[in-house]
Amino acid sequence: MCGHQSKNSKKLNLTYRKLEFKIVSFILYKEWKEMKFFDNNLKVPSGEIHIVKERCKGCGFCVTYCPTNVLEMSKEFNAKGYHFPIVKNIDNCILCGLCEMLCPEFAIWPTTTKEKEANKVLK
Amino acid sequence: MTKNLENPHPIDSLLCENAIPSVWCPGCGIGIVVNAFLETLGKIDADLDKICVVSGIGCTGKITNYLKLNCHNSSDGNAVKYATELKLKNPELNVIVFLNDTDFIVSKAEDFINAGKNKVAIRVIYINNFIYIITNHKALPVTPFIRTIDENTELPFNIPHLAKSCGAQYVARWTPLHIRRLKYSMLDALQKPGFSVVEVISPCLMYFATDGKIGKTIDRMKFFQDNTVIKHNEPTENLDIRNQDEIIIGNFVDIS
Ligand code: SF4
Ligand code: SF4
Ligand code: SF4
Repeated sequence: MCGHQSKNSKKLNLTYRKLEFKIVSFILYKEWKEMKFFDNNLKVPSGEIHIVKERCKGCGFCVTYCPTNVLEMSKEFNAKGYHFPIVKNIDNCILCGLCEMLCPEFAIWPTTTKEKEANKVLK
Repeated sequence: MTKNLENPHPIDSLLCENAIPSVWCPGCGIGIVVNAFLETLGKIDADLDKICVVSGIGCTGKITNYLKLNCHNSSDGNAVKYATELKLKNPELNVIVFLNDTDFIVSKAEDFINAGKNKVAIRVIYINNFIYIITNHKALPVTPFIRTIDENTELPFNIPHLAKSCGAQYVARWTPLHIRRLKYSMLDALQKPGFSVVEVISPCLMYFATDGKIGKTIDRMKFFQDNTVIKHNEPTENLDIRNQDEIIIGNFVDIS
């Protein structure tokens, strides 16, 4: 009897363990789905760059320090005679926002446009 | 002319858009500091009526022209004095002072020292350009070159050490290139209960203008990229910038 009981209790323990494991993994899975950090690892969100060319003074910080070489200097001039940046390949942009932070004239900033599509791929 | 109504810049609501483009030279570090400051203000959920920005003269004095906040552009050398009295009369205000060399280290350093000693809770953002810009690019007490046009042979003044010895609760030094760390420092400095100082070493277009070799600010930014070392909690005695071989940046004092 004692042996049976212990076996049963072991079985019960096992089933509880399995249930626990399932519940925990389910919760983790749900959390994982909701966490944006992992989404971004799977597919980097893409966006749009806004440039107000009349504000720009052509210092070139945004072009030099963009980590993925999205921007380049244009050959045209704006009204004050400065070269302004233009978007070369928008697909490379990782929306880090460095161009916005380094611009002394508030002339350039990125916004997300395709973030929802990127999340759809997961679901 | 420079408005973009459909997609405004994230901080356009705090800027006087009609005044932009600003008077600053192409690639001046002051614009980057203003940008970082306004973004930090958005993060602390502050009541904008309870914030007052004070500036002095020179290039940094122009900051107040572009902000849609409570601002005061004080006369030569009186920025810290004005801010101290403002804070003492209205303890609920969050007072931020933008300074340059002419505003305190040259003319009225005693206001800065008294504010630190009395633990007046003002936040000083000191933008260090290394030279007098308006009066023909002369050497300052903080100019790091040992030999200049007018043969200045002084050693540069150590601002973080002065701030610490006055009793500042928070002292940090960054360049505009370390923009995220600068923002975190500003966030900390804005929430301190006492006197806090953030020194920003800013690239200025006019460093070599007297030699007739007007370069670009991007060269100065690259100099900062190559010649800065981040050393947190470094003793402030070691923070002199001599001969520009190595500039130590980081958070040096943080007393909560
Ligand atoms: S957001 Fe980042 S990746 Fe995109 S253009 Fe700006 S600096 Fe380059
Ligand atoms: S950082 Fe700003 S001002 Fe400088 S080139 Fe880029 S958009 Fe123009
Ligand atoms: S002189 Fe120097 S500090 Fe003044 S606006 Fe020009 S770059 Fe900026």
